[in-house]
Amino acid sequence: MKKLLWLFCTFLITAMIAVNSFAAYGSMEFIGFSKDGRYLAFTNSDSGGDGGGGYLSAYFVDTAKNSYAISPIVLPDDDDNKPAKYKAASRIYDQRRAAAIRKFGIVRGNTGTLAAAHLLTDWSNVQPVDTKRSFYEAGVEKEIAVPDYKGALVSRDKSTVEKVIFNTQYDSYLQNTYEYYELTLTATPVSGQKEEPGSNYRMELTLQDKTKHPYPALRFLQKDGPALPKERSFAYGYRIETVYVYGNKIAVFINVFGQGFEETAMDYMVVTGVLDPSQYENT
Amino acid sequence: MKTLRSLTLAILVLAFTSAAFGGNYANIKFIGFSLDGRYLAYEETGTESILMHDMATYYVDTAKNAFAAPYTMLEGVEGRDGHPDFRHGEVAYKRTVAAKLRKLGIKPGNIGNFVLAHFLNDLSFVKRVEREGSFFPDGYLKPPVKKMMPNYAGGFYRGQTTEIENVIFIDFINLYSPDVDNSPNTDEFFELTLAPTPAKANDRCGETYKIELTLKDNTIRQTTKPQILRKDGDTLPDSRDCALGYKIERVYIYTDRIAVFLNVFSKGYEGPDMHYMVVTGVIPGKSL
Repeated sequence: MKKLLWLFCTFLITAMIAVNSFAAYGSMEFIGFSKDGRYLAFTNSDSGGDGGGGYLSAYFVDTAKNSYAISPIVLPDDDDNKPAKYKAASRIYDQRRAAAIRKFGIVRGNTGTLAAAHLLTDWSNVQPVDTKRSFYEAGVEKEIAVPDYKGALVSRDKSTVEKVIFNTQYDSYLQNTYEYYELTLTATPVSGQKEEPGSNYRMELTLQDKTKHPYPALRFLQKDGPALPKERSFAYGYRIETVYVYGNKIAVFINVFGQGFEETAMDYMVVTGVLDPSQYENT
Repeated sequence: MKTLRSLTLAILVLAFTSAAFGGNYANIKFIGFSLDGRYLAYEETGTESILMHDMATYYVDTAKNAFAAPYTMLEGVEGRDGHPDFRHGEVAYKRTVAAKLRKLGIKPGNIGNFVLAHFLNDLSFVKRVEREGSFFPDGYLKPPVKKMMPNYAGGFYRGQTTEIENVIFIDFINLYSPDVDNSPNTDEFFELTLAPTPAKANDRCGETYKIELTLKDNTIRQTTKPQILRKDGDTLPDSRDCALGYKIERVYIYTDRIAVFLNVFSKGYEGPDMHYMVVTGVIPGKSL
């Protein structure tokens, strides 16, 4: 009998998820886990779009507690009128980030296995609608029906349930596609609000382990209260983007959509947890 | 209004799959592109086979879709717990790889835009069915138990089929596209189509499959024809002479270059084998 294999899509070089876009879509760089998996670090940057107001933040997370290990380290956007001040702030940001990386034993590039990546740029599983658009052929403008992947970028204004199914171990002989983990992200309006534009949404993220028999109980990785935390007070939609597994730890990076200055903004949040609490807490 | 682009068919040659790997499902590490996009490199590692734990780094000319330099290989040996032990010869291997990367100007980590990822282990979009499966109730100490359970059958393997695979992606999101009344440009996209068909059977493997991979650029507001990135002949190259199926796994775009990594499935010793091949090309008219 062959042994189960660790999957193959380990990214050792970089884990930069950067959407090339105008306006306020953030970029995320997953710096990595600590060697023992207790902590992880990532940066979230946002140009702020044309209106400015961008930032660069570094987050250090306790993976078992799913909470900040320290307060986020923030570098506000460049101020064209005060380059010297920004340079000084940038230097302090770099120093604080480097110190935190050392303190928590974060290993740059130690991102574990990228188990799923549902990138915002991938529309393969979105159902298009036909839309009429102007095309030019031989200098003549024509109205042509084209597929439009509306809804591919933003999830908003309605309750949603999203599932991500993945397996970090496979057996090419058994083709064990009946063993998997199931992440379920449910977004619902906050207390007192309805499914309508302008409402804010809370979320819960559950993990069902279907690699064992009998199946262990469903576990909540994240469950918002009736109101949203301050950092997400603007949120009106969520989407699972990437899932990393490192030893017994899981890190789920989520797109958080909300109203920006004039348009939809997107930032990242991470939800972390332990894959199998019954196992010895060691990666 | 964007500049209209003309499409020309680039001459693209298959980059390869290593036939030297004897393991089951290979691992891949995309090292990166050169700063000018002319070259890329990636490393493939074999797994599981008792005899083969080899790893190899390949260097590809992205416009020609051909080797830019001979690949570098490190033959692994069986280590503890079945894990490969690469210590033997690793220093020389790394030195050779580093020298070739320098020569071609390839920058590790310069992977461009990672625009699509359909990993084999991601079963989210595989149709769920109920099938009899077996599991071990107490590790491997007791005989397996069989029962009906949810199954994402076919998720780990795609072969012996002529079913066409389409993937849709974009490398630039414009939330304020003036072409669509300042709405997101969700009507601008690239479409890759992978069409497998039976190839000429051979004495060693019998049934085999070839591919045609095409790219349609729908990011420009002009009727375009698909660009052929790869079209096999009836007889497959030696490196894929036992190929039974293919699947698009991931797509990267860097400047005007595209790199499509494919899973290549073939008949293995006790189950299917999977190796990687890359198909690269130039997207005509794409701004740098």
